[in-house]
Amino acid sequence: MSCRSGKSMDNRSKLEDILKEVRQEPAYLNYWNAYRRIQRLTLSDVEAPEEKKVRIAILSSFTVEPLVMYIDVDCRLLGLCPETYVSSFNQYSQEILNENSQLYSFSPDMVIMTIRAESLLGDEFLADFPRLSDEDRKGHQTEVIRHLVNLISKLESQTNAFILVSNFVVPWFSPLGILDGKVGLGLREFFQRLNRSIEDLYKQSRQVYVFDLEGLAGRHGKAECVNYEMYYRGAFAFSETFLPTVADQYMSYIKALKNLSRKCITLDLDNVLWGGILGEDGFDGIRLGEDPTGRAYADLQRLLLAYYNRGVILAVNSKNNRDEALKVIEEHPNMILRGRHFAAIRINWKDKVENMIELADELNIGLDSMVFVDDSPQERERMKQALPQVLVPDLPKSPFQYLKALQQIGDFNTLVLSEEDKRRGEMYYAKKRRRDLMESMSSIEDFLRSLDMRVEIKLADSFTVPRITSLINRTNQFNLTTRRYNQAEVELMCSRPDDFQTYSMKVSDRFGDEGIVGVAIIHREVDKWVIDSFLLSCRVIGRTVETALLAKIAEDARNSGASVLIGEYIPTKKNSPARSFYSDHGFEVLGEEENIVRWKLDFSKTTVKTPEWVRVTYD
Amino acid sequence: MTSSEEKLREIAAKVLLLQGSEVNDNISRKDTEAWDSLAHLMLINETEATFEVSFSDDDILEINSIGDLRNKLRKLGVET
Repeated sequence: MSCRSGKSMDNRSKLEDILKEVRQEPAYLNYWNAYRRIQRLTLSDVEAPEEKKVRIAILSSFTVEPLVMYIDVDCRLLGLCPETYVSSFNQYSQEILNENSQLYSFSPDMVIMTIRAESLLGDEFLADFPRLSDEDRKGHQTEVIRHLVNLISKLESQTNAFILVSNFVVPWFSPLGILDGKVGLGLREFFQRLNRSIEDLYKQSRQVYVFDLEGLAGRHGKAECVNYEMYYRGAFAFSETFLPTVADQYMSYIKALKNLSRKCITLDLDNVLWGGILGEDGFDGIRLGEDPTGRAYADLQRLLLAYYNRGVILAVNSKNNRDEALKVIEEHPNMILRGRHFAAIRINWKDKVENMIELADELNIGLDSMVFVDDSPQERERMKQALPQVLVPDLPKSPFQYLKALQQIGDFNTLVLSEEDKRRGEMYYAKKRRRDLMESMSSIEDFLRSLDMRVEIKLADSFTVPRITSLINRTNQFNLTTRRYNQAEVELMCSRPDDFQTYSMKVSDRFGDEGIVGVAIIHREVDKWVIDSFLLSCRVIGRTVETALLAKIAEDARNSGASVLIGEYIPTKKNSPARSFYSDHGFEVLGEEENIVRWKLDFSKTTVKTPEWVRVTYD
Repeated sequence: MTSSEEKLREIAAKVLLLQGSEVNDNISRKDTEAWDSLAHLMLINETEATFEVSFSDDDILEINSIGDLRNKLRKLGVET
């Protein structure tokens, strides 16, 4: 539980009770009931940790309360403390354009804008459409785009919030009927082009994202997206059956925004990667690729491969005979996934919960980053009970339905996807091989020498800033100060080289290229350099590359005439791996103030040397 | 208690934030804080969906208590 205030322990447990009901039966009526009851609790969120708070403003041309209630309750089910703001009915334009409006004083983290095309095009548009000239139709398009862009630009200039703009649902009905695609600019094409333009306009934006309402409506069935009784009675734009789908998609963005995305799927083998029981059916008897059931399993593997290729880590957690199962993975002619796709493997007869904890430990990721896929309802229930942080999706009984179930998981999203992210699977596999090598070596120095490590250190530039920003915001363990900066802030520091110096470090070795895995931000003062931030991706912890980066900083500091290098350590729940970093490198402690421990390296006495087994290049 | 009665009781309780045992015909719109205009629409919609009926605009305006709701349902052939 994270929403709390010291005085309202009582409300905290009430909130848990309310949420329990929705969790058990996520029906529309239960969401309503939960939302309204939660509103009546006086939840003071002052003590909630910053990373759990989220302020969401919702601007729309219709009654949006049902959507708000889903988003609010879904956020709380995730342990977030949402605050929502809804524009007064159909007043979204005024609120966006007026710099003193309540919208801006609310200071949202996220602005959701969802406007029905009807309210922009006017009530007569559809009736008039068949007789409008192409010229007029294009004029309407331009007008809609101009209106939206005007509003979005204002939002961009007035707030740093993440802006999520809905596209338009392409109507399934056209008065032109079967000729809609034959006329110059038909009704469907009118909306398709509108959507295309909006998406193109914001493709490069890091602040504005387009919410694909059209795609969701198609998935749900356009004829079922509106409940007309409620639409005419109360301007409700989404039917109660469509709402959960819409809310889920908004939650995918919120999870990405709040760093709640999952990183790893752990997979059972029998009746998950293939049909049948290996121990009973044997290598030649399992179903994979050949018959209808086997083709469904092969497609499921292809989906998992697609997830792997976008940066989701795969692992195995299965009760089986290890050697037999590995033989299938490596040698079965129809396997899509092979050993190199799995970052870690637990195939044994142990408790799966125990395996799960070991996997998280081996991969060095939190249990709250993991998804457990298993066909056995008993195993799933046991996992949910023992490790509630792990996401355990329900699998349908029929293997033909598995694909859909796994496609619906909206928990792997990130707001940016770098080349490094996409190659995460390879990196984890390389790590596994590195660990095997370490176990075969007699000393850690021999191991480090045999890795053939190369490090490339350079100052941040426009190509590396996105990755640097992502590391600054995602690194928790080896992070000396855990100061978070957004891309604009990093860019600002890069534009002031006399005051700041931002370093990035790339690491590679005989097993592969890790890409940029280290970042340091230096605040330059007249005779001293202060290390504002110093962080290392957990992928490369234990390979002494941090020493190489620190050595480079010390060298640059000395060359620029500084006499001391100052380091800071701010302890958090997660960053104990970095605690002794400065003392390990010869810094003397200066003292502690407001939870910040300050360290000093005096160049007249000592400096930092690059480890002999790391080859460093500077750019 | 008939199952229709139970269903209506559950809807009213959940929409109006009452305990099931608190729901009776005298629960009225003007005395129930949670029964605002949005809750009213919610009550109507859930009742319609559950009993597969459709209220007229006039019906909706005339429903001011749970008793009224029950009467309108009876008019549409649903006994609760």
